[in-house]
Amino acid sequence: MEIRQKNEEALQSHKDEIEKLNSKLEEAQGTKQGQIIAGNKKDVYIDTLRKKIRILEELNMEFEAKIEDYEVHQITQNYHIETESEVHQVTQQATADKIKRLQKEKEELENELLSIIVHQVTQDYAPKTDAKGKAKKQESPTSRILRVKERDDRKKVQCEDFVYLQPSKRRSPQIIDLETYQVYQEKESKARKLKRLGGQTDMTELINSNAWAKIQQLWKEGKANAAVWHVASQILCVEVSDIQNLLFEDPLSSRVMDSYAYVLMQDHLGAQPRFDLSTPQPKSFIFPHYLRLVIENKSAKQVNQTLQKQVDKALPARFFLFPILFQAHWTLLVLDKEQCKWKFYNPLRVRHGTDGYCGATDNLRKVIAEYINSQTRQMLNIKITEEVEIVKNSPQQSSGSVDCGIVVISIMKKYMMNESQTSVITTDECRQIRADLIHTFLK
Amino acid sequence: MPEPKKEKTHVTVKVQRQHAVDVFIRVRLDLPLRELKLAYCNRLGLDCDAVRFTYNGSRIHDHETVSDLKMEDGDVVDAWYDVLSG
Repeated sequence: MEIRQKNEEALQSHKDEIEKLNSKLEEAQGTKQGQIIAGNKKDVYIDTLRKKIRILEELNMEFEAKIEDYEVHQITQNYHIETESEVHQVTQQATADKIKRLQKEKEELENELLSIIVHQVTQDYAPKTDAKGKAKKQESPTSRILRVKERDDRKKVQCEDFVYLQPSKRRSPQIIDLETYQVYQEKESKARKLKRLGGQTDMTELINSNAWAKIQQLWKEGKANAAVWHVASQILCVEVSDIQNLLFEDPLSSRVMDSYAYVLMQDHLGAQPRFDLSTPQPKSFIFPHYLRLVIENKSAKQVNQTLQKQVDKALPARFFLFPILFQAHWTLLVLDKEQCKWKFYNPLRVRHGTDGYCGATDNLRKVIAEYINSQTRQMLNIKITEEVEIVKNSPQQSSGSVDCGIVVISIMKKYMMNESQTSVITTDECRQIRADLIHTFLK
Repeated sequence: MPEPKKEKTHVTVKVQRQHAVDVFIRVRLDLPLRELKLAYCNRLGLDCDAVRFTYNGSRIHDHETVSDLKMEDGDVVDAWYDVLSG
């Protein structure tokens, strides 16, 4: 190792000397060139200098040869040399190792080259063979959801112990074939229990003895579904549960509203004077509550058919009464045909802003107005508009009660009896109307 | 020889109800429509007495048949469910 260090030092010193000489030569050349330009006297001196340069170049060549020898020596130093005869063998071994290493490098490079070629070929063919979607995917920015979906293996990896739900399939609309439909037996609906008839309340005091006896009998039978009043031609019926709702001051069902409207209409027609044998013409006409729903939901053809049936009967009347059931609240829309005015009675009037219940009747007013205008244009000079007046002094239900249906019935009753409308309705009056309804249906 | 036209024996009608799925029911022409009502209510778990059925705005009677009402394929029967409100 010491010899090696010394050799290196000597080499470096030689190299330094050569570099110094070269630099000096260059400087000398620079200075001499200036002198040559100045005069030809110095030509001889230049020749001598050139000779010196040649000598120096020769010396340089020798040093380079020495350096090469030293490098060979350095390689052979890595191997353990015992005798000089083994030097040849060691050099051979070193060259063999070098060849092996080079072969390895060559193989690696060849492999790399192959992989590069394969990659290039696949890149060239990829967009052509892939579907359009994949080609688009490459263009579009990478989506995290798509990446997650691609590596999503939840469907494959399932636990054996866990019971997985089967994905529900969308079914096409099913057709019930009555020829093959087996369940024809009317299921006995869950027996609705009637509320217990307690002692005397404000409501029960208003009911007469006959009606009370009937109520007690009905309660003994205990059938909430049993019909107590019905009209076969109109398929209107009132059940025991409706009587219960009236008795316990509960909400009014649409069934009771339509039934009582029918009763009021019959009474009204009976009270009209008859001038000949033809049927009396009503002054007011009450429409069923579902007319609004028909107009809202059905096609123009169906609406027209319904209107022909319903409105044609009512055309001679002055007042058209439309009980409106919207969002579990009863309101009343009235059309005064002589004055061409719509009036809207809301038992729960809105203090601020627009009345949503009145807004629900927009379509009804429009359709009815158009229909009546088209029917009566030739007979009378009537033009009904859609403008509605929300009656400000309409009777209001007391707060906390569910008497909206009763209030609407009271307004309708006054229209049918040709009485003037009042602006107030008390709780006692509401109870009286409930009692009247019970008497009517339990006759 | 053109084949003689087969006379229709059945009609498929659609029963609609507000906020509910439409149901198609295939009915024989001479079958009382009470059975249609029962089948519809049975399928949807409704109380048959609480539902009213109308066709072209008039109520359907139990004893009436498809041929009485001159129903055709695809005609719509409306079902109305009584609502309490106050």
